[in-house]
Amino acid sequence: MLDDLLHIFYPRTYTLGNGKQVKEKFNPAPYIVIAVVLISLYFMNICKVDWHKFSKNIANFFTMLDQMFPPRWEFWRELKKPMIDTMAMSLLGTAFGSILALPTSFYVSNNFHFNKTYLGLHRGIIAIFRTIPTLVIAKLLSTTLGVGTLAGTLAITIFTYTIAVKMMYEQIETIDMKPYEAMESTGANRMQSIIYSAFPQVRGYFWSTVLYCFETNVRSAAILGYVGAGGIGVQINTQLNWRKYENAGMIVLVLVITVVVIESISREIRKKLVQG
Amino acid sequence: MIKFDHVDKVYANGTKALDDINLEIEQGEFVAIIGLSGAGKSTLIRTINKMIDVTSGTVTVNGIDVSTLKGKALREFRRKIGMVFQSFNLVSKTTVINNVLTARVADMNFFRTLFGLFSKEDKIFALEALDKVGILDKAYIRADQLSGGQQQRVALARTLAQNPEIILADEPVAALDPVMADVVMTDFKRINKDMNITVLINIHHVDLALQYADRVIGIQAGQIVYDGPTSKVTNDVLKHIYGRELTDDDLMKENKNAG
Ligand SMILES: Nc1ncnc2c1ncn2[C@@H]1O[C@H](COP(=O)(O)OP(=O)(O)OP(=O)(O)O)[C@@H](O)[C@H]1O
Ligand SMILES: [Mg+2]
Repeated sequence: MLDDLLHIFYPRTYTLGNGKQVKEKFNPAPYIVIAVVLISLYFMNICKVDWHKFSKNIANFFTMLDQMFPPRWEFWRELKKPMIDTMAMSLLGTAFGSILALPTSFYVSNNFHFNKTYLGLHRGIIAIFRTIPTLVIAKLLSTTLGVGTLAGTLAITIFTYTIAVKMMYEQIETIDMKPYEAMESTGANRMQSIIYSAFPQVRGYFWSTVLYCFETNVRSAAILGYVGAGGIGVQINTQLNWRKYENAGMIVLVLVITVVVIESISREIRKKLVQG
Repeated sequence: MIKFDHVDKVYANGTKALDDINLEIEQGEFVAIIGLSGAGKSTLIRTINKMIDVTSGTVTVNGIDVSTLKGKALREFRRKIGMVFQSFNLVSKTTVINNVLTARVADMNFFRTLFGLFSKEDKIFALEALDKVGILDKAYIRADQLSGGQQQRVALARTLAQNPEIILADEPVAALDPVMADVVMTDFKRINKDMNITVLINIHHVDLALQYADRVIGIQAGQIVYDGPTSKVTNDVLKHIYGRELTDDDLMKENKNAG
């Protein structure tokens, strides 16, 4: 028993009845588990939580929550316009971003023999942009293009583009290339072959990606106002600064309802898309 | 006419797949290409529509030296050559008719291609192709809901919708049961006779080759070791091509009768 247990850390050599020897393959898994546990313990030590400070401030947090509810229902009237802006930003940004992402994602997939250098370059640029938070991009745009929904829409377009291209090309690279070969053999060009033999294989996934981006975008569009990119975030900022917590409560309520409704509808549709 | 003149094919890894192939095939012939796995059958038929480039020698189709073709000229050349694959190569997530219509796309302009605007003539042509292989009633069913035999007939209809002069088929019945294999081979034979389309078939099942083809080409290690009428293929010839006695596996019929 103990012997078998210890042997998970190093490979054994077995000798068969006829004298042949078989050496087990080394399995690194137990070492990785131990390393992960040790690293986690180390980090828990660094980020030592100051429980005293925490318990003092948590009280403030609950006072604020208490003032937020019940929310001031009449505030809804002032929320209509920024809420519509937020939705418009998310919708337009998702639409523009996905429309741009669709052809690009085929172009940067490595199964259609497009120019390798260009492909790597484009993927690299997208990867860099993906690491910049939308909030930062929105801040840059609102300072250069001016405060407003245009900056927000553009920021969301860029975010959608970078995330959708990546999700799509990873999926495209797993498709069955045989129908593509068949199409090329009919004399169709690369674009024609892609549209009719590759795209149908990822059509459902594409719509699912668009919906996923939309969900994410509604949530991020809500806070873009913080950096001057329009939408309901502007209001969150002002109401909290003025300590109008009952108004802030109304904003939170509207946001929660919107996000929940959009996410549940989107999830249902996506489930259908994946099955179909 | 298809003509091979001292054709060699050496793959990048050094494998010599075709070794001094010389061949003439007239319009309207039904040719079966047989040989062991790895003999070079797939390579041979793929050089005809330049899916594979030859290393030396020339392949000529209707007077055109295939190696000179590229870009638009190559695509236009391929319009005249249909191809059928062992694994059907259909787009599974779409309907039968849409699969057949893909054979018409090469002739469409950018705008029509982008929006899938097939003309009425294209649709009729595609439906007639389905009718020719007897599965018109399956037109609006998703391709992946059909049996293997039906899928291969869709693939055949797709090739017909291309209005080809030559059909290249790479083991088209290898994935089918004996009954469906017969049905599909009969389709090939009828198309060959009725429409005078040249048919080149790679096939593992010798008895099907002997039953349907007019001419048999035997390949061994990239070389043609037999080329002649089906009627002259004797057991000795087969032994020569395969380098051994045939097994039940090579003769599908025997399996069918036994099972
Ligand atoms: N892309 C390739 N790169 C390198 N070698 C290849 C390639 N394709 C085929 N070959 C080799 O060329 C030889 C002929 O292959 P080919 O596919 O033409 O044989 P085949 O007669 O069609 O065999 P099968 O009956 O198994 O389909 C084989 O030795 C094969 O391994
Ligand atoms: Mg083959």
